[in-house]
Amino acid sequence: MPIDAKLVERLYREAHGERWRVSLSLFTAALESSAEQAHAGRRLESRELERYLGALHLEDLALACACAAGDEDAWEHFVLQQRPLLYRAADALDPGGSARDLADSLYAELFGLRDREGERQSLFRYFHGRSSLTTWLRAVLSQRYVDRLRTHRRLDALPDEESSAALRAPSRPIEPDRYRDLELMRRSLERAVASLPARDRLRLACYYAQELTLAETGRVLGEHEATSSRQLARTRRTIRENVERQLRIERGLSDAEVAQCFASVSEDAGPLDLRQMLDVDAGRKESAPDRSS
Amino acid sequence: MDTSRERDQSIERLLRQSLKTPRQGGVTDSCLDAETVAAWTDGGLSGAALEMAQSHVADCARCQSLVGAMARTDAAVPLPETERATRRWLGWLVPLAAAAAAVALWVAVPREATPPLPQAAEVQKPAANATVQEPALLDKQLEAPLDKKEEQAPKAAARRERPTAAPELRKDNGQLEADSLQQRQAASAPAAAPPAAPAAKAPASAEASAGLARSANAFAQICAPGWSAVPTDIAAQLTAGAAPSTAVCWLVGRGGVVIVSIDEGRNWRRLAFPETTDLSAVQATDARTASVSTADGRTFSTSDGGVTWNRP
Repeated sequence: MPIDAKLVERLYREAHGERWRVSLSLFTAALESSAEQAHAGRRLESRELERYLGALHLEDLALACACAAGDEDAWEHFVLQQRPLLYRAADALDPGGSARDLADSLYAELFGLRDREGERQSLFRYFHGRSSLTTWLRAVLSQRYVDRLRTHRRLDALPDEESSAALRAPSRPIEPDRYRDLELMRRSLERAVASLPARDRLRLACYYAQELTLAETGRVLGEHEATSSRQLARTRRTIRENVERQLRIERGLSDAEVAQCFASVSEDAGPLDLRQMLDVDAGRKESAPDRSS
Repeated sequence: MDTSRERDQSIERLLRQSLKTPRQGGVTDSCLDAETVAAWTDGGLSGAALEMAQSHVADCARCQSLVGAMARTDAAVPLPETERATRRWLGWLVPLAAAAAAVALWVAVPREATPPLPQAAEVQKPAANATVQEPALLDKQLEAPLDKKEEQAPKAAARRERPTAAPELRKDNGQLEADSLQQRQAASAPAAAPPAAPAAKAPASAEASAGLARSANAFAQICAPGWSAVPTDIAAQLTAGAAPSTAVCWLVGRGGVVIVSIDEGRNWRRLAFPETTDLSAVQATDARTASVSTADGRTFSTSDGGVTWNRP
């Protein structure tokens, strides 16, 4: 995706590329790579291309170019600037400190120790300036952390029968009718959730699956936390109406039977925790704390 | 189980149980990479790209975890000074802006219907576009002698017209933005009812003091929860802060104000800055190293605790 030379020069000046001795040709290649990556190789009109390039985090892109090229000053600046932030992000992911190991290991990849066909390949080649360098590093760290967590979950041995994490039988047996009602509710719920718009499903996932606060959920969705709260309430109503409709019309239940289905969920939570007992994360949130902030 | 409210609660209970159960699933080609997630976080995704990302994450447990992890680290890491794109995740500021506009309208409309006010009170009343007025300037107006306030009004209007008058929306300044809004609203409130000139001074000063205290506390929270507030005589001038560690915090403000604390806020030291220009952002890596951005877009850096500054 060729870029007008004058535009490149202007962007180069804005990026202060000379500070890190980034060559114009290297910077041009980085801009072209960014545009191609973001638009899947689609050729952009000149105005659209200029708008895209102008919105990039140019100084960070120049710094990343210099670091990838092995400029010592740039690397030192990068480490000084980013290490504290990366550690803070790591501590936010895991206050126990395990994510710091991941943060440390990133530096080797960023520096490009791994040779591939004789060339030093740096992780910086995946940075295209569409975000700040800080946010990108945070995303890389988060990605590594999540993937490691998921890998460990898959590899974790089943809990010892004697351990507290071993499956426990419910405190009292589930009555057959109640089990049926619960299953009806769960299946209806799954269908109701599946029928929601993606944005509503994402909001539910953020709040209930990821257990983000309303404020965090709002930031992901680009809305105020009060809006998130309202939308969650609206979505719950929509789901409830959908579930009621399914139970009445598709399952042919009477009003009393529908009420019994809902009651099966609202009663004693003990037997309802069957799925939670299978959840390796159980205990992370047994109750529903106030997450309004 | 007859009321809709109780049934909604049942649905919520089911959602908690069903959705929090971790689902396994491998990484697919459509899973978001770190660059896309970062671009999304910084507001660099829009239109179809944003919709595509949201649609995928809505159904992908792995990417939900990734977005969740990003959200958890969001508060821990201040935005870099080079942040220029409007953060989509900070869309929550839009309602604030709308509220500010509503306040401005509420203030401005009755003025047309009311008779001319006494001179001193008129100066305190913000113009229709007063919601973009800088809080520090408001504070100065409130503190200044009444007979000087009219002289400051044209300068205030000129400052409002500067392109840099619209503050960059930054997460670490979110509380400050809210505080600024409160200050603006507080400053606007007395003007809604035409007060007599002598009586207007007292509530205005009280509001100014309250605003200063709020600013001080807000900045103390940027540094670290539990820190004592920054000196109130300087708080109103401050615009941004950065805390590279639990003990160190840098704060910058208008007129070249740079202060730093290295003992968890017990003592603050004013550093000499080369210019008296307004400062809009600061990024620090420790007690000695920091870069400070001016409102007109230049960056000064120091690596010796403010003894010397590198000019752009």
